[in-house]
Amino acid sequence: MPLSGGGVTASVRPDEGRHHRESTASVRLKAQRLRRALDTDRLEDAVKIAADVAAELRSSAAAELSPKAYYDVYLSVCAELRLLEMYVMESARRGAPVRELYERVQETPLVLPRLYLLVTAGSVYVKSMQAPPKDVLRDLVEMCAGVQHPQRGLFLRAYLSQMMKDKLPHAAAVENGEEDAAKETGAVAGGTVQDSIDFVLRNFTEMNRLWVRMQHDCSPREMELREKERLELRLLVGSNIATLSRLVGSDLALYRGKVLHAILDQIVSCNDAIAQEYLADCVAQVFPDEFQLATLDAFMQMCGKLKKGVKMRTILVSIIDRLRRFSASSADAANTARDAHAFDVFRSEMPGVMRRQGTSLPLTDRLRIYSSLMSFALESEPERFEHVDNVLGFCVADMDKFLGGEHPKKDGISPRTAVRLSSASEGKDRSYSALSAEDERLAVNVLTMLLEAFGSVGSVLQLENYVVLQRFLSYDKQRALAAQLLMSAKGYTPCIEDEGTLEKLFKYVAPLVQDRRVDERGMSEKEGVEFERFDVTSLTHHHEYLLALIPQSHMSAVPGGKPEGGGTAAADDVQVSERYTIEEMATFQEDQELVAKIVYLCDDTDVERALSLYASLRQELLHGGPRRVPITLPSLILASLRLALRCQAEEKVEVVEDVLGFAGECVSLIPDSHALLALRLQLHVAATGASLGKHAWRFVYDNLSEAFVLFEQHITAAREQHTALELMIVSLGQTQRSLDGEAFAALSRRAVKHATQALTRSDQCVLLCLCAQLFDVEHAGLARECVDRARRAAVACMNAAERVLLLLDVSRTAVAVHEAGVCDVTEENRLADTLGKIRDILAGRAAKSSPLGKLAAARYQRLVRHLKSCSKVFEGLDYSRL
Amino acid sequence: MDAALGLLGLGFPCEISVDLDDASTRRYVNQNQSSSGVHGGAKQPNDKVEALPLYTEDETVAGRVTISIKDGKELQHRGVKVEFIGSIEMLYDRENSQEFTSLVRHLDDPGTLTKQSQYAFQFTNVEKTFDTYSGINVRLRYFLRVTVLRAQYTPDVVKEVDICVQHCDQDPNANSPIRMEVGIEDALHIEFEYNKSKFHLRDVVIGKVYFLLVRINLKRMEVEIRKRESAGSGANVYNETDTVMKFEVMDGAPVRGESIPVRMFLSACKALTPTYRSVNQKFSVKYYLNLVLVDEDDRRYFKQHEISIWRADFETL
Repeated sequence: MPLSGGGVTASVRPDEGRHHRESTASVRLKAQRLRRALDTDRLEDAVKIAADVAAELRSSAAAELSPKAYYDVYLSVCAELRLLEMYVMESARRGAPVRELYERVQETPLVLPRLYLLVTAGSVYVKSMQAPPKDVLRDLVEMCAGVQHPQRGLFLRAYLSQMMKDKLPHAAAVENGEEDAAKETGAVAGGTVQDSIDFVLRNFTEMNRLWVRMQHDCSPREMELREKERLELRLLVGSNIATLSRLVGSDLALYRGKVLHAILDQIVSCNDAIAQEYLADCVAQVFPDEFQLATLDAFMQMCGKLKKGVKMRTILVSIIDRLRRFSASSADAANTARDAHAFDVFRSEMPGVMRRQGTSLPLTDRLRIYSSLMSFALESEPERFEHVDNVLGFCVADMDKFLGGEHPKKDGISPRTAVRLSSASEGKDRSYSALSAEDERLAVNVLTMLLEAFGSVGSVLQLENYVVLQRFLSYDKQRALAAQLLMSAKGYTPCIEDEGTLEKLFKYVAPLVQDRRVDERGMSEKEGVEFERFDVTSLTHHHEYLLALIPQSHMSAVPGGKPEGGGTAAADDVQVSERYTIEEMATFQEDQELVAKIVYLCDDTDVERALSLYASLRQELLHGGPRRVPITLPSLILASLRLALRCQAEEKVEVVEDVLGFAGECVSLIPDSHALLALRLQLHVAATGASLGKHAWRFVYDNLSEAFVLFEQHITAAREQHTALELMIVSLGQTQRSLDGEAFAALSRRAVKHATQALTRSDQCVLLCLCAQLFDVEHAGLARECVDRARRAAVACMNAAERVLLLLDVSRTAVAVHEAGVCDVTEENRLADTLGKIRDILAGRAAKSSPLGKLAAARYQRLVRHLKSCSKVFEGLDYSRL
Repeated sequence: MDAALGLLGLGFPCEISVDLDDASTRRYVNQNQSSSGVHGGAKQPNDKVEALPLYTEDETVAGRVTISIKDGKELQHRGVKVEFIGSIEMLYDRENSQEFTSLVRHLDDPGTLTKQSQYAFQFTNVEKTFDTYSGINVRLRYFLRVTVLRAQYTPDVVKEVDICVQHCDQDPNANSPIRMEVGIEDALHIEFEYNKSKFHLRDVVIGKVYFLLVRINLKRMEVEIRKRESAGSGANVYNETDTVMKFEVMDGAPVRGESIPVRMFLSACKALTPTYRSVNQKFSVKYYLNLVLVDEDDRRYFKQHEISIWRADFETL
């Protein structure tokens, strides 16, 4: 039985070393006499000398020893008493009556050596079965009360349990009816396992009381030392519980009915923090898992009665983790755990334990306990969401209590870190102190754990307390968690079927959708959040009714009036945007992409319901403000376009228009700072509309014209203009068939106009080439004009390399137009001239050596080959000049 | 030395020996407990450790006296007698000693002895009311005295042989337990109990001490047996109190509600005798159980209670 713990405390026991040496030497000396007496069969003398040896344990030197040194002396005394025991055992085997010795040792005048000898003799007595072991055991455990000195008594009783450990009767208890029969065998008469348990329990109780008393009446200065010394001795007490476990074996009824009750009673009644903590942990560790499950209620009730300040964390985490490991061990075990309703027990008893401990159990410890409980809930019955929710509820309740307004630490909290939470029960806001870093880490851990375990947004949405708990965290943590929640949706199985759920989800991910709380000033506003503002003036190109879609809180400027406080808000915006680092920007982007994917969680099996869901989703997304909407809205637009195509396939024509209209509206909500994006989407909508057939021509036209408006008003950068125009022209070409003639003419003319107005000649040339291909025979003139203008632009280009490439483009466009039968480009040798110009440049020295020249030459050759291969089409072309 | 004295005519001219009947089958008792309590551990030179033959109350004391004369001598005498004497001797007050029994048997008429002579004697059913006792100030003896009477101015030849008498009692009819509640106000309050008030010599005192209130830092608790011997009467009473046994029953300080067992084997105490009350109006021996609590400053708190001790069986070797 090794003792744990640190070394001897020299400062408090200055002479300990000397006393220790003296005691040990004295034992050794007396032991020699004992051996001699035993060798010469002088039992009477031997008993007296043995008493003398044992008396070393109560000598004045021994009184000065620390537990560790005393233990050392104790060991050497035990070794000597063992000689006596063996001698007596030998003579008992030969039939000598042990009773005589048992009585004789009791004549020893000093109580401590007397009891050591009595235990030694008793051990032989029990082993020899000359008396019923149960009677001897009872006698011994009673007589040991003679030593009331805590340390000496504790060791004496340790000796008692050590000596009896392997001799305890363990015959099973018998029913009343069988008793007579059993008596004949003699086994039961000597005692049953019940008697053994009684014995160990009694000895355990007394040992614990002595152990607790070691700390009685000591000055506060000594307190720490005593505590340390006591901890060194804890194994002496705890080993009894191990013995009990061995005795009980697998008899649950016995454990529940007798053993556990007694142990728990003792734990509660000893009213000592160290003992309660250690022993409760022992119980949690020593007995088998099945027992723990079956008696969890009793154990938890005991926990609810422990002294304030006991480290409940150690105890509860220990038992919870143990049960978790058990239920994870096998399927059978998991079933057992489920049948035992272990979680229900935790749920009903945990609040009592926490109430009892009050502020002496810090929030950090509580969160650790809940963290364990959470893993248990997730491990044992992952399908019971309410269990998980209960755990979250515990966290929330404790945070509410610890961080709430009444909390004394409130003064130290700066307003900046204060958190607001609208509590549904009270119906009013309470302000809370911020969590410490460690507490926050634990809270995040609890939430993360369940996210990982659930792997489904739908399940998480069923939790009542998730959001409430999340709100206690700092903004960054909330944001990270919200992102994690969205990431946990593996495979994006649709799980949102109604607006309510959607709204809930947005509560969960609010930190992603809305901006950081700016400061207290912002808190007077709704939900305590200040948003970045939509610049309403930037939306003026849209229909005014769209303004109604934008959340009021985002309106920084109402048309016709300057908002109050608008100036400061703008100033804040600047600060906010300046604060972002590159990493933050990257995170922001990633987060918003996650938000954008929410649309895939919406169940779209029913088209009409899907549409209304999308509408709500849009409403939520708009809360994100102009920084987020460009990232989050496109996916919604694309999803609604897909929906439109499905409607078409399902022939729900009347819905199609609604859907497309919705998509169009969405596009117009993208702020002008992202005009190119808006334009692309607008064109996308138009293209989708076009694919639905001729009847949607008005819709297509509207979208295209919107695109033109966007282009004209908001796209100013030359490169963007080029790209935009390219896209528009291509889209126009694609949607041409679904537009009526006039509409197309208007749009295409506008496109040509913009193309000719492009800034550089090369842009003009390329764009005009594109335009040229828009037209059919009816507009042959326009097509020809485009080609001509393109050629002029190309020719005017000063850079020879650029010129030759542009000319090649023009030639190809001309060929294409010609082949489409729109107009004859061979008239007036237009094509031939162009080709001639190309040839001239290519013939130049510079072109021959440069890679670009070679490229151009290759393209030219390809073109010529093409022309030669279909000479019938190009009748007007003078092939000889090629 | 006898030879040397004989030369001078002063030594005893004969040797007397007494052989009691059934000497080989009789039980013997160690009579050595003169003044030794726990304190008198070291044997004093005067203490004779001798095994005495054991007689009961009205047993016949019989035997034979042998008088040996040295070769070639003769012994003139005025008669030979043997006496059976029971006496109470006050060791420090000889005048108050008393022979309460004295019986004489004449063995021989005056004459001359020339050879070894033997005489049988018998004290039939002689009454021996008291126990042999050997205390501090008082001794109760039974002995045989053989006297060879000689001429005037010549010392008689005398030989004394002690026997031991013990009486056994039956279990007392009433043997009530001792229960007491004692204490010091607001400091210590205990309740103790011994299973009986009358114990035989090899009995076991079984008891319990129950602590109702402990505000004193106790160190240990003992049960002592105190013996009180009063010898003499009237103004010349000699009282001696002696602790004949100390038995520690508790080590350390108990807390309130603690119950400490007492189990004391009286056989461990060799100096114990039965309680004697006014033996022939000459002396009494009483015993007390004394419960002693010792605190950390070695202050003693005690409570004693008289117990009565009786003999259940002969204390033989």
